[in-house]
Amino acid sequence: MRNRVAASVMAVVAALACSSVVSAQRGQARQGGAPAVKEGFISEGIPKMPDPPGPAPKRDLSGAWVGPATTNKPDPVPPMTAAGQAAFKERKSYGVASRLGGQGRDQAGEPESNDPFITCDPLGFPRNLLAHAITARGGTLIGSAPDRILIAYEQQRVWREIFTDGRALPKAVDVRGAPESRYYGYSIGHWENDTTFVVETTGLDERAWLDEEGHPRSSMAHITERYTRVDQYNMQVTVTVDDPKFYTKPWTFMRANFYWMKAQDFSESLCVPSEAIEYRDSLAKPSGINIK
Amino acid sequence: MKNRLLAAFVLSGGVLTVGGPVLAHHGNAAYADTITEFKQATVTKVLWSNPHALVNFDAKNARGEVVHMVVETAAPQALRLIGWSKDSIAPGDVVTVRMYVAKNGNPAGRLNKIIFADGSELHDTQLGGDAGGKTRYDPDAK
Repeated sequence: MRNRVAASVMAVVAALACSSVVSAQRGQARQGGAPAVKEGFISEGIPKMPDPPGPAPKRDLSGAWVGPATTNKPDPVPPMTAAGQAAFKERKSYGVASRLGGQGRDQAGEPESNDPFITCDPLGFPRNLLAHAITARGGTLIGSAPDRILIAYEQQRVWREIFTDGRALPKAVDVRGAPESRYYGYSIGHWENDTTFVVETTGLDERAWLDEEGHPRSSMAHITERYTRVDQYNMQVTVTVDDPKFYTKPWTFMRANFYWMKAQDFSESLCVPSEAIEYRDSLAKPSGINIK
Repeated sequence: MKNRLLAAFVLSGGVLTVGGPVLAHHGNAAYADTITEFKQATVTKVLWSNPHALVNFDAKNARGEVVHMVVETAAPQALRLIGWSKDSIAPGDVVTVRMYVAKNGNPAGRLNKIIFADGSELHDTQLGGDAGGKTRYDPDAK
């Protein structure tokens, strides 16, 4: 059957030429006329921006930022330790099953996944950075409270507290007398200079994946983020992972430029379990993707 | 049965064009890497949901039988940045759907683009397109 379909398909392909089509934004087309735009705005809620942007304010990252869609430039994941390989072997990525050449397939060779986010388990840190900034284009809002910097993420409406009061990171988690591990870990931060804020995080819950491919990170992985505000509207973000339990050397996990969001407004973007179940049952399973 | 229905559709009303394996995100193991086009598709349900938005539609095959399809695209947050909104497409819309169908022959797949009668389009994020110039300050987006 498939061969016949493929042959027919090729015959049709040979007979057709792709037609050019006019690209337009359906959402805008439905709005029924352009709304009045206030002076200083390019459209409703979207202010004009100075070009070139002004200088970076000192020791200030506050505001809403969005990461690039495709320009994350990490280093390759280094070789894993035996423990890391064992943990990775259990992960069945949903997104990149075929690209991994066998990873993410069940015994019958069908795609399968045990990605925890498919059923809305927390992304955890630092996978949320990739998901928010790169994959799903969510915004990142940086603000402050006494003794801490707050980083709120549009997608999943989660936040992190980066303490700046001089406290130490936990030396261990999930053992007697030590704090519990967390999906988003424990974080401290300091200003390295007037434009660079450095965040260190440990104490991570090992159930969360490091990335969409399912790489593991241990509870005491030491993750360092550097936020450098280059100018008024650009912020370079570099994230390094040092996890000797699972990897043979540290590496740069994210190297990206974040941009000031013109609108500074967030939408509500949540992974809703009932919707995820419908996705699993109406799309993934019929497509032959076995979700654990 | 599903395989026969879909195959009959592809052989008649569906039009295929060659598409590169652009599925860089979810589902590339399950879906064909060529594009199937469904004309006169009637949208029956839209789920503006995570992890991916879903569009359900009906289309007839050569025997006049209705094939009910479901196609996934990106997460709403990613779609908003390339011009989609929750009401960009709604039940009752009659559109052309280009998609990567499931390799197993079931009536499901991943979106390439939706084309409306007036020629306007809704793209999947994997076609690129980034409304960054509208939404963010991005010198590269000029």
